[in-house]
Amino acid sequence: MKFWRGIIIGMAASAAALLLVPATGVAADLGISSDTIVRVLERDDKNGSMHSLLPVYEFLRLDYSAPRMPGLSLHVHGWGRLNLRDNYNSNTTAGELLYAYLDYLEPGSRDWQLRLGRQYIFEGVTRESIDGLYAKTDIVPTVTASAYAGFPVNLDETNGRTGDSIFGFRLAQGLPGYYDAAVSYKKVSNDSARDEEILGTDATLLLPGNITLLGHSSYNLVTSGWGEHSYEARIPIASLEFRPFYQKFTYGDFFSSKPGSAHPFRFLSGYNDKITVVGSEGFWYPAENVEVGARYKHYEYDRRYGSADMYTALATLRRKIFSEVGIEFGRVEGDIAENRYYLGRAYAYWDAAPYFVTGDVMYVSYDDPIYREDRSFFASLGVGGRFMEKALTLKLSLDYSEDPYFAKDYRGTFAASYTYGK
Amino acid sequence: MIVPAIFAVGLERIVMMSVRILAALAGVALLLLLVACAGKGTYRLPAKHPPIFDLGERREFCIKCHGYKKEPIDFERYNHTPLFTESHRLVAYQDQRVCALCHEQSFCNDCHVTRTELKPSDKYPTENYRRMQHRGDYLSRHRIDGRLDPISCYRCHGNPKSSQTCQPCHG
Repeated sequence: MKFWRGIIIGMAASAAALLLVPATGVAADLGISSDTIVRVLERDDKNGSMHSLLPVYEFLRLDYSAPRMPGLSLHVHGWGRLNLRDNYNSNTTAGELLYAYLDYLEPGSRDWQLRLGRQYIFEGVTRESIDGLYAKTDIVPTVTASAYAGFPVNLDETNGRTGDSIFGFRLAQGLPGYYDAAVSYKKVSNDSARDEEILGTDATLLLPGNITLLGHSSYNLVTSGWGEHSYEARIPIASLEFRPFYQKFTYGDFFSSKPGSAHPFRFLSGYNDKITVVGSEGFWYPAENVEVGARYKHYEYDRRYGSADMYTALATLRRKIFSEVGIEFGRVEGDIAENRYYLGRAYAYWDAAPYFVTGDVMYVSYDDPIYREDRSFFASLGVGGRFMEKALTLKLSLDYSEDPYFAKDYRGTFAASYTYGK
Repeated sequence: MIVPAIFAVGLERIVMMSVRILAALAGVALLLLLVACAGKGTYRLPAKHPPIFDLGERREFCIKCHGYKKEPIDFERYNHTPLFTESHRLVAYQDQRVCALCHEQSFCNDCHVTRTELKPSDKYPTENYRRMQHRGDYLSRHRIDGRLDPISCYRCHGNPKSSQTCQPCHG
């Protein structure tokens, strides 16, 4: 497996080097984005010793396309961290290459797309990061087909696992303005043994009156059972919109129970509980700068807990697009006091170009105290400014929290975001 | 007896002819549908949405400009409602290319990553309008949300690397 992973990365690197050779007399299309984040906070370890933390993070992104090779582009994104003071639950340094892939979109008809390297795939039953190859085509009218193969980054030598491979596809057919329907598939193998195999469907049906029905289901081929059904309707009525939904999950078929799979979810699969969720979202847009939203979710459990309800209501008021104030209220009501809380939040983002000021307050009241505390209070105050024709943004945030885990917790964050090109 | 027999044969021929005509019409209709389908299916999304003005990461409503037009794409489906953070998965899984019109993969990586140490609201504390997950003291709230709805945790923390944030307490 390491051999093939090396081949993929080597091919991607070679092609990238070729791509980066400057074309004489032709301007390259280069975009660089950098986020440098410095955090200041304190943490006590389990022995009561206080640690003073000063981690510095760098998130770097690069997008490059050479005009002499139309359709071909390179995309890289990763992060690194260096602790300038104490370590706490972490080593002095850490980092991750999030993606690094070559993308080729056939420039003429745009019927073909190929990606090679480390990349994220969100489609059908797949939400994975892979080292491998992805291909997508629209060459048959009304049909979109895509497939990928490679190695799952999530399982790369984690929890003692090696030798994993991943393969999947999605085949969709649709008539714009009427419907689309798709079948998708994902298989993860561990040293040739079937580890995860999911078959899914997703569909959308557009009805008169701008009503939309959409949703998806997934079937676990390893356990031979449906893991998920999620469907919703979208019903706009003048300045109102309702989105009633229905969801059903079966733990034993939804969570992976294989050794080495994610803690703590694999233990949940053993309960084999079933959750049915019904409810609706609702929105009201009385003016262009005002949004009012609400959501109700009712949970029914097959085994654990009788039932639960979650309520959310929020409103947002905008001024000149960029300035915004909002409020939110929430209630989670499980069958016992331990599973109940109220939540309230208010925030403001005030833009006075090139500067801005932000504020955020959140209060949570627990019906049953957690570590003898029955409330959480969080407040955040921030200031920032955009300079160099908005290429550079400097931000400073001071946060305060008083909750069951922290008596009085102060944190500071300074961030410098810089973008070049694109 | 002869007249009814002739009548029956004639009726049979009429029925057979009708069936053939119907089959031919169905064939033509299918052909027309395929042609219509071919026409409808030849639209290709642009690589990027034209820059209207600098919105930053503001939530946007596609129907503001496109109305409820269903072609070439169903614009209403991608409206960024106030609860879009929690409900975008259904449409994102259907066509990632629509998301890519405005968002680089790195934008998705603010939440969806193999491994990260910063929760989204800690990475961008001043972008409070994005209604990022786990704002404030989520350490306490997750005890309740996790019991009642572990499915929503699993979507982002459900693999060995991303679940490392769970491991200091959950093992």
